[in-house]
Amino acid sequence: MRFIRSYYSLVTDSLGNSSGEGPVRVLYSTRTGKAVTIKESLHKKMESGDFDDIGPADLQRLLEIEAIVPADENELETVINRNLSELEDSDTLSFIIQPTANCQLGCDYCGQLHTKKQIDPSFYSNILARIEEKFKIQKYKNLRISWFGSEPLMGWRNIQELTPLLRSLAARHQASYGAAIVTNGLSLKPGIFESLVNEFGIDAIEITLDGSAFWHDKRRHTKEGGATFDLIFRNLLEICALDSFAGRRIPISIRCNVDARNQEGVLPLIRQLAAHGLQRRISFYPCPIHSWGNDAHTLSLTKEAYADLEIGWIIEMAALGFPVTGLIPGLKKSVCIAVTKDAEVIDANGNIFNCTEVPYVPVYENSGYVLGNLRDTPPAGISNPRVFQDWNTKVLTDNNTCSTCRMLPVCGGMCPKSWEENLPACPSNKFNIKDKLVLAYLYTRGMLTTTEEESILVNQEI
Amino acid sequence: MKNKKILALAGRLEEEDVRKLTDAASSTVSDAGKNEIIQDLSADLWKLETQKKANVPSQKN
Repeated sequence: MRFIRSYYSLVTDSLGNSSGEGPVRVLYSTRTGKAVTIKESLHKKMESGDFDDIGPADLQRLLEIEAIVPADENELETVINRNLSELEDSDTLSFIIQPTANCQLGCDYCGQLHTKKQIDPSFYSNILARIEEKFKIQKYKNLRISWFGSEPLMGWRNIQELTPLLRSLAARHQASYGAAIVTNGLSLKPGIFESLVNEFGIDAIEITLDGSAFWHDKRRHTKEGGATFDLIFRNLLEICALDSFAGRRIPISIRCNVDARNQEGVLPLIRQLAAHGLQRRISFYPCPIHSWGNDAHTLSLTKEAYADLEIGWIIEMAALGFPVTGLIPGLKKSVCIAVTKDAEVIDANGNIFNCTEVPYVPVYENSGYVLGNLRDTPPAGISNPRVFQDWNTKVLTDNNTCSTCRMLPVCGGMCPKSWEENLPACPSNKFNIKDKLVLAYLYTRGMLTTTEEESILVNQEI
Repeated sequence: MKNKKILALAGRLEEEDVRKLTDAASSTVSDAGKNEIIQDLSADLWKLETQKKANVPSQKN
């Protein structure tokens, strides 16, 4: 059989100049999300196609990570078929519930129109019936709920009422139950945190901070314009100081939405989190602002500029002792719930969607993104077809941007809705993957972290 | 590598560290003389991340 280097393989520039082993490179196969460090000599053989000169152990490994593939293979077809198999065989049913349309904040980039609407308890049975119907079709092993906004903690009563019903449903089907919440953190007092974790099955929490106080408060203020950073940060500190937090190790991630206006606030926030010792207790990730049915993306950094800044943030995080993840992106066979056959988003109005970007956003109100409403859509069906369910097939047949992208297996296309709106959805990885691979190499060699003494000095400077 | 910070860090690789690193890497691979894959980077990164997570203090300070 004749082999070729996979289209879905990337290699860094040459690293190092050792007299011993000589320079090395990082070789990354996006088909498997695996990376290896190779000698320059092997790189040259791969470039020239001299596979016969590669030792059997190395050849075996290169085939395992699919950096080398059969010459006659249609690689795009392989990638897409794997995605489709994953979607077909998933043993987790995901439901995203938005218990309220209300939020205390008036973030200037938010596309949602908030109202005081709460999900009506009369909808509970309809939600359960929809989930029940899906269990009839497939034997899921897990039921995964995400409490999402507006601000889900403004629907705290609904979370308290619905959780036991959802748990009971999962138990009846011998499925595990787990839930996450995405919150602005304003109401996340230690008592609420303990209830969420101990009584209501929350096993992951995400809070958004858009930089240190100066930067965050300019954009994530209350609807009346009041500052919110200090309150959220105090909640975070109090939660992280709880014995129950340390004992349960509930993952808390801090998301930082970034555009051109607040990019300077990211490093101060990273340093402030570290100064309070939170790098050992939470995770942190920045995220570029995108269109939310509005023009928020027009204030974004260019993708290249964002990717460049992101590398600096990662280096700082590693130096301060944060866990650094995502340097070698793993496979993304299911890009989002929109491409699944079963996951749904339910909002406080009873609307059913298959995309979290759509609820409460005026421009999408009468669009094809609404699959139905709990009031009149039968539990076993939907009123409108699931848009984007054919996303993978389209990538295979339509020859779009993703069809020729080497990052496709570890990206999945990122956001089909964004592409539909002619807004390129490419993540930062596409622009800084080679830098990230180098960072991964340095990180595993202990060359990104500072000593304990240096960390203390950094902390004292803040 | 376009990022200046990376270039600076890579510069550190030009120093004595490079020799130490490469020696350390090659010593972990059996049959080092023949093998041209000197590190399973994914596995090493996974181990490091797991180790970091395990080091999260179980009691508040």
